Amino acid sequence: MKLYCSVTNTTNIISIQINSSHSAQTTTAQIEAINTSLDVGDAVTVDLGYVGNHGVVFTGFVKNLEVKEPTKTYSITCSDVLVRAMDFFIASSNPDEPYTKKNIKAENLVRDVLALASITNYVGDNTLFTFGIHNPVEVNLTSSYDYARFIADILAYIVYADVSGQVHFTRRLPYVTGSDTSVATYSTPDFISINRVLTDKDLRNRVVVYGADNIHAEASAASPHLPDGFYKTAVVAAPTVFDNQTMAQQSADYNLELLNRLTESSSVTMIGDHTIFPRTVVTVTHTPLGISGDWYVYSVTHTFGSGGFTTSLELRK
Amino acid sequence: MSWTLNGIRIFVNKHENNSRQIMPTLQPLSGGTVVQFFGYETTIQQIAGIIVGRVDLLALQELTTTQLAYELTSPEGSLGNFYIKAVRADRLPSVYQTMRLDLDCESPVYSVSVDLQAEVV
Repeated sequence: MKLYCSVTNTTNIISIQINSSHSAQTTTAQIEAINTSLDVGDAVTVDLGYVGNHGVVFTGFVKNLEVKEPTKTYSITCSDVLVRAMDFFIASSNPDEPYTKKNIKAENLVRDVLALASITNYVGDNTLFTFGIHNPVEVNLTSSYDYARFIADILAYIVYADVSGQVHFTRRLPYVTGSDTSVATYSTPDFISINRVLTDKDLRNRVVVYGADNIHAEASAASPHLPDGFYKTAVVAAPTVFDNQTMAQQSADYNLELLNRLTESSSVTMIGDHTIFPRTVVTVTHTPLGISGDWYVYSVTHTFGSGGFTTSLELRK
Repeated sequence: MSWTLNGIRIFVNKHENNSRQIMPTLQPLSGGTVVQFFGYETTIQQIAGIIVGRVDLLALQELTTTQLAYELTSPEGSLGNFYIKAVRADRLPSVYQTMRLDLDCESPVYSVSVDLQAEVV
């Protein structure tokens, strides 16, 4: 299996690491090479795998370029298109006239905020949430990404860029749901190492939402993993956007569905597979640890270098 | 023709020639070892021999500071250009040398070992 890699305007590559996750702000690429003509801000594509079987695993922009002596090597740090949203800080020239929107759907608010950072390759799910019904929504003194992420968090949605550079705003829960279809199957001969973890660290069985003008909502449910009558609480504070009781209650219900569960996860290291991306579902079987069925791919790390090409996954049930 | 490195005369009594392919091996939990191919190292050579005279020794040691590749020639002809990675020298006890008749018979005699890395063109 002869290894293959190609990076824009870069040759004699020493190593590459790509990190992508359900919850991370951006996908990042860390490239070590001997020759490059890349400069900060340049567009970058990373294609790796094996000769005759490879594909694009990252597209983005150079954020940091380091040249080292005495090894005379380059260390190139890249992030995907959402780094533009992270870098774009919304600050009105007149503090009395901030950026405002009235009676706007959540997905369109995210679209417009990202467009301020020149990100227009965007697709947003129909959320059924409308903001600024009574009072306009003001967006000021925050980055485009932070505000889009804030909207996503209060609705239990996610915002991410795929490998082609398109930004998605979607309700993707970090576990397998009934409508998911597995895209690949892996079993014991594919794994170099594997583990399985169960934890209630992120479990919350009560969600309280604070909105504007005395708008507040709550959702809760008993958990079989906690003592009777015991509630671990999460708070969603969104007084600038929730001015409608129905929206606040919907947010509480969505976040309870997201949070009221044990986190069952598995960390897998396997022979490099460039075709796997986070936010997909795969079928995994490893009988000694009782791992079987469909698992949600929460994070993917591709490591490529003289030590070989490996892919590390964090999977969630 | 005798052995020379950038024209410096060396009486070679040992010549090692090593090559290596970079082959990461990954061991799955079950099944055979998976072998991947990352590339290869350029030829590494090591010559050991005798140098006569301090002038030649200093000239040889100077080659480790230049970041340039130099031609290695053998009795069979040129072996290519190499970067001089390391030079190790021990002075041998000598009363009278006859290896280099163009030099003084009381010239110092050194045992040297030189590590060479092939130049990539």
